[in-house]
Amino acid sequence: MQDGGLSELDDASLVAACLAGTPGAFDVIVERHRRSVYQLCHRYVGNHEDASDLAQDVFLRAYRGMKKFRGQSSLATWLYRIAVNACLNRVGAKTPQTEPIGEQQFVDMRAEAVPDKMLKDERGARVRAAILQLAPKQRSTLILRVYHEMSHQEIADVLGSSVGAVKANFFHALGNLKKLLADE
Amino acid sequence: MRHLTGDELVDLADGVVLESDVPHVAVCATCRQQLTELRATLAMASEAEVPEPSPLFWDHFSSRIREAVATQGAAGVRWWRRLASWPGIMAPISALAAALLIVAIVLVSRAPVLPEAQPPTSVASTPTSTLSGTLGVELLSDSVSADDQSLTLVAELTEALGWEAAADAGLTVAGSAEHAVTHLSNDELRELQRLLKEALVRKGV
Repeated sequence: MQDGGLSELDDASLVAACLAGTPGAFDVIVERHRRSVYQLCHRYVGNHEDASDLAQDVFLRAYRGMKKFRGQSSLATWLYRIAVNACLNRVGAKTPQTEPIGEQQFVDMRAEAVPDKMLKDERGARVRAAILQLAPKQRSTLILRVYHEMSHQEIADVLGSSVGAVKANFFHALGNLKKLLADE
Repeated sequence: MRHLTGDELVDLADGVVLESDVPHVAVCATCRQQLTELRATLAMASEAEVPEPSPLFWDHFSSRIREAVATQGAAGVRWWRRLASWPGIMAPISALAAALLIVAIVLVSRAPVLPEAQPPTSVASTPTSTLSGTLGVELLSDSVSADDQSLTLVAELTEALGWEAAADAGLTVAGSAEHAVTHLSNDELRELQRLLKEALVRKGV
């Protein structure tokens, strides 16, 4: 997609371009961050449909609130904050609908042997299902730390808590996750 | 011997703190066991990837966002554009606008000509007179600027034209002052003469 060089801009410049009304600037932001936002949402809700809806909602909220982005954190962290809030609201509203183990939307059969891939996918599904059973704060901390490699300070900023609380939640999340997986 | 806290174990499991910097781990089997379990759980969690949607999903995803953003932009469009999009609304609005324009033109065209600042010197000027009592017709002042050459020409050409000749020529319009003057009854003419004499007396003529 020809975007007039917009895809070469960093996130801060893209935000400035968006606010200036440059056509296509927000499209580049979406394209750059859509996968990570979708994956974060999926880890919260456990299924593709809800994750897709939530991810769209996240970007629409980001578009409406672009003027509020001050650049004090990275754009990704800002998007994750919006995503976490949206997901926590959704999780609080309904019971997560997880996908059956082994059901995949798209299976890439090229990289690994099929049986290993399927075993790995099955383990992954069990882990995702166990994560869904964690308390919201523990779930948030684990997702942001393990899958989005955010520092404890960044997680604290997103969740509006302290570094100590983040570490405590992370510790308990790992302990509970171990118990859930051991009980299966 | 103090065991490691949860925070300290997390820092070790995360790799934020090096194991070599915490000698207690080497000498405490309990803490070492906890650290091993934490790392194993972390490793298992790290392998749990989110199923990748089909490539088509991402194209549609971006398109949906683009459409939703455009819809939001359209929703912010001024109310009058939304009003204009209502079916059948433009015809009555256009008719109303046209009617208002016509009324405005008529009002402007019928507005009395305000007198110029300089005193009127044209030969076409006539004194203001009011026949309010009997006839109820008010004659408007016809003060004309001496600079208006066209009106001066007309005044010169019609100076010798009497009211009767003007009326016979159809130059008076029903309802106009000229028409009223040329169609006065005898009683009305006598009253007009009396009023004009009174006006001349007041002016000292």
